[in-house]
Amino acid sequence: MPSFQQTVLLGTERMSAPPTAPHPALAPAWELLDWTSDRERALLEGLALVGGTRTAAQLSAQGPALPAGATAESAAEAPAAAAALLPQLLSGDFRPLLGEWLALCGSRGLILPPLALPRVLAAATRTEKEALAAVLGERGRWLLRQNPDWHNLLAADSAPPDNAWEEGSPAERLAWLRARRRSAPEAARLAVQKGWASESADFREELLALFAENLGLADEPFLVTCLGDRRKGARQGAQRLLATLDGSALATRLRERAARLVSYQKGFLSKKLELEPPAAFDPAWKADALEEKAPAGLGEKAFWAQQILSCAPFQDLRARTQLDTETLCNLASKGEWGELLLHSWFLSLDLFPDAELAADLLRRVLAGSLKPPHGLQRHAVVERLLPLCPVAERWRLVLDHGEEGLLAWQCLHLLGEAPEKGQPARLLALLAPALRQGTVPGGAPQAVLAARHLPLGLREEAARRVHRDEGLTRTADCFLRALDLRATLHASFNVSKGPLHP
Amino acid sequence: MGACAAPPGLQDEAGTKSETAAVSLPCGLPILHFRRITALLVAAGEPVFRDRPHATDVRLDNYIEVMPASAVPRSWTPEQATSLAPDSASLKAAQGLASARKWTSLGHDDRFVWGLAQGSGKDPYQSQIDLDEPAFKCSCPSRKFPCKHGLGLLLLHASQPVPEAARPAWVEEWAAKRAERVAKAEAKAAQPAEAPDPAAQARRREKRQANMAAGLAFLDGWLRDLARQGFASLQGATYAFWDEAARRLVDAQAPGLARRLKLLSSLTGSAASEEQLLAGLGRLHLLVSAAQRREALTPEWQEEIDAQLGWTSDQDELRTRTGEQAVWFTAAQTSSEESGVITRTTYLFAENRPPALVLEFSHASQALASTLALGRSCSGELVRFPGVRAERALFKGPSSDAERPALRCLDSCAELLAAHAEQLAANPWRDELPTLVRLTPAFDSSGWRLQDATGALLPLARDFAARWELLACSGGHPVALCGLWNGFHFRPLSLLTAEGAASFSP
Repeated sequence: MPSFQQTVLLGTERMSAPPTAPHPALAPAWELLDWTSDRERALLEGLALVGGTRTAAQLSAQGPALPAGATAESAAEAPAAAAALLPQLLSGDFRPLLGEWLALCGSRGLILPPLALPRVLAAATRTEKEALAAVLGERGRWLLRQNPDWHNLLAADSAPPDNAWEEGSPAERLAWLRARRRSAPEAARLAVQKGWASESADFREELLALFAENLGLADEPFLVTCLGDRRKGARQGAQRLLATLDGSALATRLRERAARLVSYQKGFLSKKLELEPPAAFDPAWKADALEEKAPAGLGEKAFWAQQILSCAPFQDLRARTQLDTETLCNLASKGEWGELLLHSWFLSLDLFPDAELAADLLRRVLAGSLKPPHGLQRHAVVERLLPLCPVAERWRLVLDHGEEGLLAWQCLHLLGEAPEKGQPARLLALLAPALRQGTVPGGAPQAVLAARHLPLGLREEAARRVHRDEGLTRTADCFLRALDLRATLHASFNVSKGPLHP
Repeated sequence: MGACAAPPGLQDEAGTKSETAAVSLPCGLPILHFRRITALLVAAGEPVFRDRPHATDVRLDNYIEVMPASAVPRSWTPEQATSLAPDSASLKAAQGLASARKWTSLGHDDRFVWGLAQGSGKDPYQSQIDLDEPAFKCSCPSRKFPCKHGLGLLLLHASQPVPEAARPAWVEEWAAKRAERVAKAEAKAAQPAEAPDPAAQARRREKRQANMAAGLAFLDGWLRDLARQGFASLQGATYAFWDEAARRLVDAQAPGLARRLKLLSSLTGSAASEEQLLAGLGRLHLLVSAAQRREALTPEWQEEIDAQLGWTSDQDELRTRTGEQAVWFTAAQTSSEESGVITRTTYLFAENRPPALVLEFSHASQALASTLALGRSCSGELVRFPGVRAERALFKGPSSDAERPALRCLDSCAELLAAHAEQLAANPWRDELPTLVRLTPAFDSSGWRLQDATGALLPLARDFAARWELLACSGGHPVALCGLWNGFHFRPLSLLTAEGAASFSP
């Protein structure tokens, strides 16, 4: 006799004999089905019997043992009114305000309500992870352990397992090296040296970049061997590391060469800063990873000089000449090779950050007296130099030059907290025209970012400044709503002023 | 299609003995009465449904107490206010207005909240809310309801209560009009309604019955064709295959049958849903059989079959009936939209009573402003629609806020299965059991589940999106939920909290 399952699948057309009851418990009912005169009805009723039994009469299966649950919380949850704002902050225009929510919550010793945890964890970026970690609570930390994606978000800086270097993915190996350079730089270097030859060229570059952490003279012999690497990027990586390593032979050589290239002459009436570019490429330079062939648009001698000067700290020149940064830059700009000198110093900032030099060069670029170095746009120069400047200088630069090219909009994320009273109001005055006219570069997200950087006390003035008789532009509306939302957010945490703008 | 093997739970083990009794379903098929695991009741072919001998073996109110009664504040929470938004654009606009800066003359008393909002016009809009219902009134020209001002005002009041004040004249005027309207409605309800023409009514009913009979004959044939060709043929069934049949049933004025068919069509295409699909087709056949012999059934079953087919009940008449007076807790709410009509289902629970479902309908552009907001408890009278073990009900106003009743949650999977089995034995078309549970969510490679202290598990609905939210709320411990069990999956609808309930949707 066919099984009921076969009959259901094949239909009564191909049924050779009445099917048996699928289970002894159904047998009494099965006997009442009429498989002779009305097979289709019998099949449908059989289906109802089996389906009903399956739906209602199953035993529940047994699951595996449950993992340990989260421990009890010691901190209180954020107020319901604050939690109710999270959906607005997790998507759409107001996303840049999530960081402020997290910071406020953390500053009050509160934690995220459990219901909000998954969406916040899924949306949080690495820049928000510190603030996020502070408001996770026991429940959040327990939840992280359940989901590898979230676990990695916050655990990227923690030490990966010991076998990650030998067996891990490239990302895990980099994480291992990053952690080991912090805790045991010697052991980390030895591990890298061991398999160096078998690493791919791209990966060799990435590995070298991590040697900046805890760099010491013990690393010098290995890095010197890397100066002869087949890969140009790896050679230059090693060169940069050695150039910044005090006491390394290469650093000494490069500084001496740089000193020989630039001479300071102090006359009775005038001072001069002269550059004497090398007459020829010294073959010994090749071993120091200096390149001979200049890129298009740059002369050979200028290129050689620029390479050498950018590997020496500007501080050396200041010490040698006993001149301040502004004077040196002024003298340099008057000479025949002025632009080359200033560009070389600009490039040296990557290796030797120097707040004074960065501010001076940036002021010249913003004022138009110095062209951006070869291949760089003005906004890229701003992005590189502004973070090197002290916060007070950043505000001064932006407020002095903000109107040109909408610099204020471009630099919002780099500004930090205003050091002087009155500066936010001046910033608002700079931002308002673009808001009023609807020409904000970056649109609504940038308008929200602007609202994020203004104190809430300026709300009234902001509304006045962006007002337009024919109605608010979309960005202005977004800007004002973001300010209102921030005010609600602060009120919901029961504070009058946020910690970001005391 | 491999879903008709022996039901996995049917084990011949101690304590699972079969029981017999002379009980049958209205379709003539033997009723399956399930006690703990199962016991099959074989009917002697009696055409009329009779009382079941073991109806009290498993009681629906056999709960374990986990939620003591607590006072529910009268104030609205931001989530409750958000749930009234007619659409996302309105909610966004309202959120922008949920700031005291946007309002003047804000005030509230024990029943009303009001404020003036500056719009694009010369005069500010007068926005006011009667918190009891809630009811909204605004002088803005928006056709949405509630408008962004009303919703914004409620959101504002929910997050930072507006100052207490005496009602201004314009609020007083509205309050007086509302009182007048209530008095008129009560007076009208007291008067006997004008009787419709009985002859015309009978003609209309006769015509619809004929249409439905044709629809039932069509569906019977459709199911028989499937049985003849084999259900493996459903694997390649297109959307049109199901849609055409559903449309024939709509034309036959049997929307209940059409709805069941559409629900079944959503189960095709997935091996995991095959069992559910076949069980659903079996249940549909039971309904066709029962409807075709409707006249032989008891009035109670006739009413049940009518409701299943899609006959509507006279709600005015229902309102005249005496209902169940209790404190009803709104444990969950769901919304669905079809052809521009939003259906909101509210799941109500009261102490020692079976759960009730209230369905409310509105146009897609308008929200339903109702007393039955998620997490609130109202004292009021509820009338169940006719039928066998009816869940659908009508909430009779007026109502008043009350302390949450001492509700109990099932904390064992076996109890939930028993309650569901008992419900199905009573009425095979009552296939989803709304219930309160207190179980622990967990997951592994085989999927997500709810588990009790004994290790017994219920699979979680595969398309339940807020799995991580559920896990986060539980922290690996038992968590109180309102949800639906359909014999295959548990679908959480809301989280029960100390303050009331919270929806899993954002």
